[in-house]
Amino acid sequence: MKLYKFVLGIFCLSFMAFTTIKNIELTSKYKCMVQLKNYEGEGAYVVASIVDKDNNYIKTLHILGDDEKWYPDIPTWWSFFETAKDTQVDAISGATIAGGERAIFTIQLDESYLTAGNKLRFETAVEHQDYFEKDLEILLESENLKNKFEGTGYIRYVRIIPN
Amino acid sequence: MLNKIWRYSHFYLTVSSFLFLLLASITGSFLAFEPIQEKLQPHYIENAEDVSVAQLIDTLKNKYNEVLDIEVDKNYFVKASLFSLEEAIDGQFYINPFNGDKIADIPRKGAFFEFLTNFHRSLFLKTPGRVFVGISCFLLFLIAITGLLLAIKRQGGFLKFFLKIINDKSIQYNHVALGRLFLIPIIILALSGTYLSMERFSLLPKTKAIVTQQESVFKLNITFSKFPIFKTITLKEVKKIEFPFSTDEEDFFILSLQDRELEIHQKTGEIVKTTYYPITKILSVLSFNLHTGSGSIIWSLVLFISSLSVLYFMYSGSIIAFKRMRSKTKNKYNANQANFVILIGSENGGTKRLGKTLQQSLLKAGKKVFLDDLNNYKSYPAIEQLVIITSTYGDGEPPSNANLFLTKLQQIKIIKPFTCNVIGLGSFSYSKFCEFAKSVQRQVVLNKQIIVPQENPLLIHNQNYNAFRNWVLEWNTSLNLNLEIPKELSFIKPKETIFKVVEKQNVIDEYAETFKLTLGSKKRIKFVPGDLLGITPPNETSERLYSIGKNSNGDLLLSIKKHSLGICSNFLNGLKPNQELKGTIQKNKQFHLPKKSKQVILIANGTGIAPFLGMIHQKKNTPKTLYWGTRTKISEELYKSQILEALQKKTLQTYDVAFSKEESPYNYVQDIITRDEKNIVKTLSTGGTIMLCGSITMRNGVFELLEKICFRNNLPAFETFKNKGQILTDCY
Repeated sequence: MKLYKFVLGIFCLSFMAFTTIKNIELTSKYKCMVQLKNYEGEGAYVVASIVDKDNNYIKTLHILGDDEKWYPDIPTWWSFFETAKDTQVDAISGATIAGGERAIFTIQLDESYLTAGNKLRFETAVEHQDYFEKDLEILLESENLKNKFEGTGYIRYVRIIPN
Repeated sequence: MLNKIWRYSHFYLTVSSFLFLLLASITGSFLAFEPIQEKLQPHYIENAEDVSVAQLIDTLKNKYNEVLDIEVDKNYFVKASLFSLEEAIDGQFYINPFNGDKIADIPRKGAFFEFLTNFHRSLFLKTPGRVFVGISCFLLFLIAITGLLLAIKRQGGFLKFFLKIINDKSIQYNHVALGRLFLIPIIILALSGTYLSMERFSLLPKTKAIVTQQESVFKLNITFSKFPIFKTITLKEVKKIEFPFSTDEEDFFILSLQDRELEIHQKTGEIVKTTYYPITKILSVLSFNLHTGSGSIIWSLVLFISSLSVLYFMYSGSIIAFKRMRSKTKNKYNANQANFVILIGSENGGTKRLGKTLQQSLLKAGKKVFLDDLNNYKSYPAIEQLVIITSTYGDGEPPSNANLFLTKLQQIKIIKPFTCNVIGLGSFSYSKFCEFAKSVQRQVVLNKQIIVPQENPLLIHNQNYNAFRNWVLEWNTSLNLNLEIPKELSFIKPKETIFKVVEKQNVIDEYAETFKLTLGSKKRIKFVPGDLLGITPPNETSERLYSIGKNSNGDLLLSIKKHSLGICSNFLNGLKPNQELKGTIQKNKQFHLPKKSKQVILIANGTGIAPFLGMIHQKKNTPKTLYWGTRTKISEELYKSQILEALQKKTLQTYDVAFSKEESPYNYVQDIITRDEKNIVKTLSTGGTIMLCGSITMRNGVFELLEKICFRNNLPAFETFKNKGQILTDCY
């Protein structure tokens, strides 16, 4: 009988071991639209990442543009992405968007990110043109995440609404 | 001189962009298959283009939570971007516009085509690569234009540009004929590519879009599918529909059509703003479609063939340029020292080679020679002999390096009288055969200071080197010069092939000994009856040429008359079956069985039958007649089995033989021809061909007879048929 309890105990404990805290954590989805200015030239590479208050990359949420050849043109992010593990990147979606066009995608945010001065950063680069490390940065607070934000580089504005 | 400018620009433009054009046309020819492959995808739904926007929106709104946008591509494949928390219906995919069903995922651009596209645009050199490719593309346009101007010049004027280009079987003919055919597609390719590059580097003039804005007046809210504009527009006109991002009034529908973009109020359906695309943008879309062939299989194929033709132009152009450069000359003596002056009128360098050969011979004999272009004619203080060798360009005009000669000849005072000989090179296929050489002769004769020994200029058809060589030898004798002139014009030595004697048959009658050699080879070699086999007997340097026949097994046939003192014929006669010998096969395109002729009459005497032994086995739908003249019935035995076989297989329709030394109804081929006059007339008047092979005497006899036949039957003059290429000869 003692042995039986012991086995059950071990079983319960081992079950616990596979239950990670992550599953309990809450995530929210946001719909996000990036609208570019009417610049001339090739399509823009746009990368949306979460950075902490000291500008350290935490996670890349979305990359518009799938030709890795041009990634080094986004140097600040590239140094992070090159060494990043898969879990730190959510989605790479097909094509770049050209001047005047828009792209819509969803981003998924852990509630835990929405504090401590974390920022949502949009970086942009266009072949043979300027690179904008901080085209747009948004302070990550739940209050803030349903609005329209003006960009400083190729981005005209970004709009975010909770889903 | 203008002519030269175009030629030099055409040449240097090509040289400067050669590598880029080469790579671009190779990759381009592969890329032509991308739109074809896309078009063949099964995403097309019949009549999709007739669906109205209202109908499509209605369908999609009922089926999916949220639609972000809809795109209609060149092939009327409908792509929808949908937004959903359910993964299966989230993202972008092809849909059926009638029921909104997902048809297929959007395939990733094929890695192969992506690689090629990248290479084609920038050669993997990023921005600098794109600049080079863009410039090369513009150069291609200039090359096409300079080529066009050259072709117009060659054809003898703009109006004659569209007339038939005379086929002198040269690589230039291919270059020009193909160029005319692909001129327009290549210009389109070059211009559209240039435009796309200019757009890429923002080099296009800035044009503003025309915008008309309207205040919203209606307050009535209606559902999307009831919007009047959506009801009237079908997918045929639509490029893209962007749905409002949120329900805010400031978010509009954006409807992109072929020529304009509409912003539509999402509550009332009114058109709030219309933006007409500037012409630069419309041209850009047009350029893209024309350059890539997107949306059209036929145009893609045209682009494919055009790309290949660019490759061919590079090849043929290189050969033409190479030939021309090789003919550049160096002089050991200058114009003031020379006793012998050779002046050349040449468009493409072929003529110059003959001049150089003569120059070499004279130099070897210790003479002071000066070789130059006809245009550089001046007064020569030491001159004794002037030799003018010239071709004729286009419609009887002088070649580009000879157009000033006639004027200079009149203007420049002759200090020292000299003797002058004129040699013209040309082709019977031109109506004005050697016209310029004739004009030169007429002018030279008029000058009292110039002694002209020959009444008519020597006129040579198709650069026949032997005719030239014979003339040089005669000239040599008359001047007591002691010239040595090579027996052949060596260019690229044809490869030697090893042959093995398969069979040898001799026939001796009381007049001569002839024999037939059947040769096989280990390697498969290509030859056509009528080609020549060059054989150099052991310990000899000069090569003898024999007309080649072919038996039904594909073996090579020679028919040879043994001369008691003939080195080569005795050497060949000494060969035994299985023995090997070396020889070179030389193309002789002028004497191949014509591909298109409706009817062919083959006329030979003696061993001249050799090439015809092959031609009568060639499987052509062309009816063939063979007339042969020989001495005795025994000599016929050599070939009889071959001929009977051809008759039996119906590759030969008629065969007639005349024996000159036997009791027979006909003694000479001419007798048979006289009997078959009707057949001759029919053949000539329906565009058929008469081919002659054998002795010069036979040829002259037959020509005389044919002239009479033409006259008797009210046909055009015999010369006309000769010029049209209906009479082919290979006589010796």
